[in-house]
Amino acid sequence: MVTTPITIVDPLTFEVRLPWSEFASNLRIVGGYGKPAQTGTALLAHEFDNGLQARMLLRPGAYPTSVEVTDSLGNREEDHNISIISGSLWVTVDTTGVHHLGATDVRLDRLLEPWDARTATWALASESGGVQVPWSEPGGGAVERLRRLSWLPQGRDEILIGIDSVDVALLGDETVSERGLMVSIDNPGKLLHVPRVRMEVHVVPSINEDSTLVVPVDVTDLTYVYTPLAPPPSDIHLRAGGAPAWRSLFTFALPPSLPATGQVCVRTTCPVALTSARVNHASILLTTRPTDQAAFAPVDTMGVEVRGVLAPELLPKSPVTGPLFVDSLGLPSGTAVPAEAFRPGASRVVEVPITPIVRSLLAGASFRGFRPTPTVALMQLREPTSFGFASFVGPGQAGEPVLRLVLTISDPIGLP
Amino acid sequence: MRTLGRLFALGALVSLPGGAAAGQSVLAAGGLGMPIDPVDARGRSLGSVGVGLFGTGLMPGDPVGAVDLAVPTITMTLQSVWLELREGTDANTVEGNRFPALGVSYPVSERGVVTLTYGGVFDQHWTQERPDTLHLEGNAVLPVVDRFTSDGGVSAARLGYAHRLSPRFAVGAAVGLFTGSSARLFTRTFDTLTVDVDIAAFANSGRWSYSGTILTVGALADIDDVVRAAGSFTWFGALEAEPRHGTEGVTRSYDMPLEFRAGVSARLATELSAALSLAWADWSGTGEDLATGSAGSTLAFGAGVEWEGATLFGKGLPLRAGWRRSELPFEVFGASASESGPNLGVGLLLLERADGLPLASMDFGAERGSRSVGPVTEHYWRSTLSFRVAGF
Repeated sequence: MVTTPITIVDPLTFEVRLPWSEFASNLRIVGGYGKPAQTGTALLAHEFDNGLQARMLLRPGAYPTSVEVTDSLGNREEDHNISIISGSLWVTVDTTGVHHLGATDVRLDRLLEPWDARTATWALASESGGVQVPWSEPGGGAVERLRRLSWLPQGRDEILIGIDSVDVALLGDETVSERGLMVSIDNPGKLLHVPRVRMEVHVVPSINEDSTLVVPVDVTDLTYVYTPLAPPPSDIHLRAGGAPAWRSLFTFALPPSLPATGQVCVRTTCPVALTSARVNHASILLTTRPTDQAAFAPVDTMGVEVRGVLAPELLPKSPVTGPLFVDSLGLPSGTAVPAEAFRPGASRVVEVPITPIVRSLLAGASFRGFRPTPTVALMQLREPTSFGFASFVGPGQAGEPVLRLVLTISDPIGLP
Repeated sequence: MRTLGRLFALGALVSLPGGAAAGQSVLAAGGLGMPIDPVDARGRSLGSVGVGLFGTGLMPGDPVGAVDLAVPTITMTLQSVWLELREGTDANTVEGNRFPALGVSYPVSERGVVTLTYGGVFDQHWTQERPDTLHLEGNAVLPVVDRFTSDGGVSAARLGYAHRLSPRFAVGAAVGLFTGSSARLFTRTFDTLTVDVDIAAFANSGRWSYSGTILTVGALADIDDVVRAAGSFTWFGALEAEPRHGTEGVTRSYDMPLEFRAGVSARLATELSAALSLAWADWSGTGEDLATGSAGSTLAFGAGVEWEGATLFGKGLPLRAGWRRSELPFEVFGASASESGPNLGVGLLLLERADGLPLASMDFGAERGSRSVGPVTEHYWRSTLSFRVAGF
């Protein structure tokens, strides 16, 4: 064999997989991060699966005060003397996640109690500064029935709900704190995911009164309230995501050396010292499992990531590090897990890279300006973004989390 | 069989302050690197190894060549190389630049001249690449690229004095220090297009600085402006390589050879002269200090002719031709190598004193040669450009 500088260095790359007990401990599943309003989506359910009830609450923004119209001479003019005669609410339904095909009875109510979209829950209308204001009755309090209609999912993914002139006018009064609408469904066993809601008002201008203009109105507040909350894991498994979101917290206890055999031990002393410089790749291999309750099963791809917990003593309120990986736009980049992976019989192993964390822990150096802490959180990307959450097999079970390490060793670089 | 030609991807070359930069040969990967001859463009054109040429010169390996520089003088030599590496049907072409030497002289008496030179000794700039594949659990094949990069080299700064003892005889000596540094970096990068996750590159590096002493003595004899003979001995102290910036290992010491250079020039006609020179050094002691590879004695010799009858716009335009062969000290791939080839050159005397001493001149030399080591053959074009400014 020809001797060249590379053959003198003689690099050797190999892989080691450690079971949970050899690299981590102190698993805790903590929930409550974020609010449903932060998802920008909504949920409608009535006695679904374990009795899940979910209702959508929304509040429109300011109505238009003028419109641009064309007069009889064909000139474009700004008309400030307009009349709003009615409105429409368009509720987009994720039909890929529709459970139980068939007609759905959809109800539109007007809220009659003050509420806060950021903090509203099934039981509370608002919560601010430690002051909790409950609904007069859970699930939105007293309401005024506006409309009821039947929606069939075939061929359409939008539910159109008309709003008459009186109700539109009431909704437009921004001085009223109870202003808002509630959408719910009445059929037991139904669950609808709502990725988007939009509203529009129908305007008659003073110029060219024969025409009616459709003007979009921002839905400034959108949330959903539901009951019951997802129970903590019934057995030992990992959970990430949901709204409010769950995180799986655990503590790294990396061994100082790794077991190895064969060629590795010919090249270096075994067990192999685990050093930062030797680690090319570190990841956690997680095995997906069906979500305990169908209501909380993801309906779309879940992005999960691991971040460092900066102040474990403050948990569950501890801040976390920035994302380990970002995409070309600078947005957090994690591991995408398809929703199918959380269905019965579809378990699979997914890999969540954590190389920066392992390297910084081994080096004892700071990572992104923070000293590394051995406590980390498995969490959803940009939580909360979905009602459903991801479930993974926990420690001590077949398919438990495994630490995958790709390492390279070489002889020291020297002069000839 | 892995092809060595593809292993060495020779990148863009970088000039270092010490001049020991810009490697462009597979041979730079052997031993302490590729030796850099301290020869200017005129010497290159004449196939010279550096001593015994008519006229004046200011080069690191010739302590007495500056003896007749009666005015302060600065010289600078630049070099460019175009190299084609070939092994079987594989070929790779690279080019680069060097800064082999810089010299300053100052006459301190009617017969004495002080010189200061700085130039490269070893070029250690090269890159080796090796594609490979790995088999990790769950990934059928993971392509990797191993890359070993060496940058930097050994230079030398020398302070000398040349003294003319008589119209026919002169002596000179120079003392100097090795300087320079080298950095070596090995990286293994993983082609993660075939896997789902990023795998960070592995890197391992080292950095060393060089030191050591040099002593050169030389003499020349002139016989009625018809024949000039000159010779020099250079004693190199041990070359010390000290690890820097946390580099593992201890200071390495390399025994360096005693180097002998000799040359003779003869005037064949009024405007026609010929030069013949040779250099010899025994590097076997250095080879014993190498962790890998070996070295042996080297002989370099060359000859050339110079015709000074041509002019351009009334300025002297000497034309030169020569041939040279050099053995290289360090084995590469377990084999020794040599290079040889013809040389051509031209000078342009821009300004001269009444006594004929050049005050401003430039010289250009071009070499075409080849060298082989193991299965690799290199064909090169080397151009050397020298400037001289004096009398300020």
